[in-house]
Amino acid sequence: MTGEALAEGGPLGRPRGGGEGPEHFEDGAPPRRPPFPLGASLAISVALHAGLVAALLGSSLFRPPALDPSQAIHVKLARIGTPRDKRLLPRRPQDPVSTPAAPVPVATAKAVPVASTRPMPKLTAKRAESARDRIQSALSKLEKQVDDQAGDPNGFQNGTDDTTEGDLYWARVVDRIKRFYVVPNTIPDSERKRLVADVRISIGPDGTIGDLQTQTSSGNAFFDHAIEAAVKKCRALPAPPPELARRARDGVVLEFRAAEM
Amino acid sequence: MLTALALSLALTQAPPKLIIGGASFQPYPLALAPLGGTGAAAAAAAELYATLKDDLAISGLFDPQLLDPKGYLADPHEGMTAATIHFQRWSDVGAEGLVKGEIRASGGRLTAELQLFDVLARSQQLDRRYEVGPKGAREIAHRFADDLIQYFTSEPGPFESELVYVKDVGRQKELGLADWDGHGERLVTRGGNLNLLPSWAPDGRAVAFTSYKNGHPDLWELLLPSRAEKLLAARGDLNTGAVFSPDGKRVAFASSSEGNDQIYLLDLASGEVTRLTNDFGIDASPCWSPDGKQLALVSQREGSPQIYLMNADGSGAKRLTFQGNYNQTPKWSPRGDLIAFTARDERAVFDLFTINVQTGQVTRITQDQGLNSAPSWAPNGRLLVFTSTRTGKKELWVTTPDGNSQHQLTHDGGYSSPAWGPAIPRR
Repeated sequence: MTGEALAEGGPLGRPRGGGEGPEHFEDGAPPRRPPFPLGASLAISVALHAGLVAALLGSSLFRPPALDPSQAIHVKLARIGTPRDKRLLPRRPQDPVSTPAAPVPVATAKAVPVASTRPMPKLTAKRAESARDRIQSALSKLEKQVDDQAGDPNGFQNGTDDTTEGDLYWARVVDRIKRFYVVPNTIPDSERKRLVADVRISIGPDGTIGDLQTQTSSGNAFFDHAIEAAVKKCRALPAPPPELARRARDGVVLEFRAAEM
Repeated sequence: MLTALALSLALTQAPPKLIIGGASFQPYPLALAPLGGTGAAAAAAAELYATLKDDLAISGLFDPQLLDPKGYLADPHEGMTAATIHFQRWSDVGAEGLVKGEIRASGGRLTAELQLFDVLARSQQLDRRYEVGPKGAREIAHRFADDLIQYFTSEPGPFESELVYVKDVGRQKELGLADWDGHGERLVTRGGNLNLLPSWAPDGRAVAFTSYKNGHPDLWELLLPSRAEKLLAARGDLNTGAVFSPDGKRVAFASSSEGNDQIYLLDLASGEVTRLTNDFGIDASPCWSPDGKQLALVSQREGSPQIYLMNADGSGAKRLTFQGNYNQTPKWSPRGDLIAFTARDERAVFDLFTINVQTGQVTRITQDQGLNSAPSWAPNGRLLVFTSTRTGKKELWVTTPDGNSQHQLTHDGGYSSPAWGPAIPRR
């Protein structure tokens, strides 16, 4: 093929002129034929877009962020209806939201009626202790699993943002201790407003609590006793991240206040 | 979040400080081990145990589930000393405190030894010994319950106090006296008249009341324990609602001696009567603040009966209640912060409420359980006795101020106008 031949023909060697084809444009140039038929192109395009959308839907970009199981979510449900006339006497709250329950004892032998033809075996003290140990062991494993899964959903494994990671970790420590922060209501209301006490603990690399010391007493033995019990009942705290391990080990001060903050 | 976090990041030398607030206040987990007692003391031990258990449960301070011995794991025959008690078994059921004791009968006397242990510390905290007559098991229970309240709250307990109330006897109304829990009732008036609205003197040695024994309502004083009656005031057609001042030297009351019902003050030493209110409405039901500096009263001066406060000399009157249109029978808490009262709601049902004297916050105590009226505070301000028709008869009930724990005291009907007496140990 010569240069003229190329100049005469199109890129695919087709001749420009002549009235061979059905198409004829005003500029006199013959129309370029598509590389594929139009129908096939549309089908491929639709398939590609559908695939892309499907891939995006399946990707993590569209997944809801994972929730940190150690973070409590507090929800208040609003009652729908007309607000009560303020001139009327108040009603008692219906179905009051229960206050955080006291930690359930590990092994109890509360009598529970059971529909059974066979009598329940008698719960001896030895069996109760054994059951308690098993349940405690299972709970410890479960808590460790939950703690291991916890983390910043937007973080990454080797992140170095100390402030964010630290805040999250200390918040988890507070959340854990607060689960056991139960104080007897024998303490008078007037005294509850002023009760504050500081205890210092150390947190081992695995979250183990050590060196529990009362730094500042509240002046109320029951309150001091209750916060000491709260820390002891935790048994272990979330394991500190490596960058906080030293500070956690060197000591953390817990300031307990009886009143809401 | 209920809990705030404070972290001392900047101070590298100081340890991190975490602030944990908003404690969950729960009834104290106290276990009550069955009491030892053999032979003649067995029945006394059972009576003591049941009475003590009721006192502690009704107090609202102790976990009622843990007071039930059905769930206990410990050997019922375990020892009475810290060295012989298997504390782990008490801890396993959630107990942090433990009461143990035994009672013996000898020489026509009952002797009880009762102890309180700290389960977590595994140590004895209280050790009490009581000796009473052969029928004194209930007395021991009340005394030890008060000792426990004193230990846990640093306040006197209410369980050695008494109630005075109105009891329907045929077509008449007499005054009755009973232990705080309704046991041991005895009628102290036998006039065959209408005797109403009893109110204790602060030393527990007298009860003021309204009686129709002379054909119209006058004020009388019943002296205890002699039960002698003494006329206090008979002015005009109506005298009612007498209440002793906290120092016991004055009596406030309502009288129509000068027209409509107004509030007056009687000086017991001089017999001098001073008029405290002067308005066109009806004023009634005075009650004293714990410090004796103020009076609460019911007044219709603005139309509907509402609760007002004023100084003890009648000055500085101001309206306290603005919710509801029929508020009456105010009773000032011994703690001074709340006033309990009876109110008729928009459904024409009478229920109990409290109002915070400082904030005006009204809190409902009873609801949807018959008609409830006439509250009276326990001397420690942690309980209220009142009248309720929820069982179909007028009975005495007791409740915590939040209304979450309510218990029936009487069961044969015809009770009204209870007044809870002062905490005076009968030892």
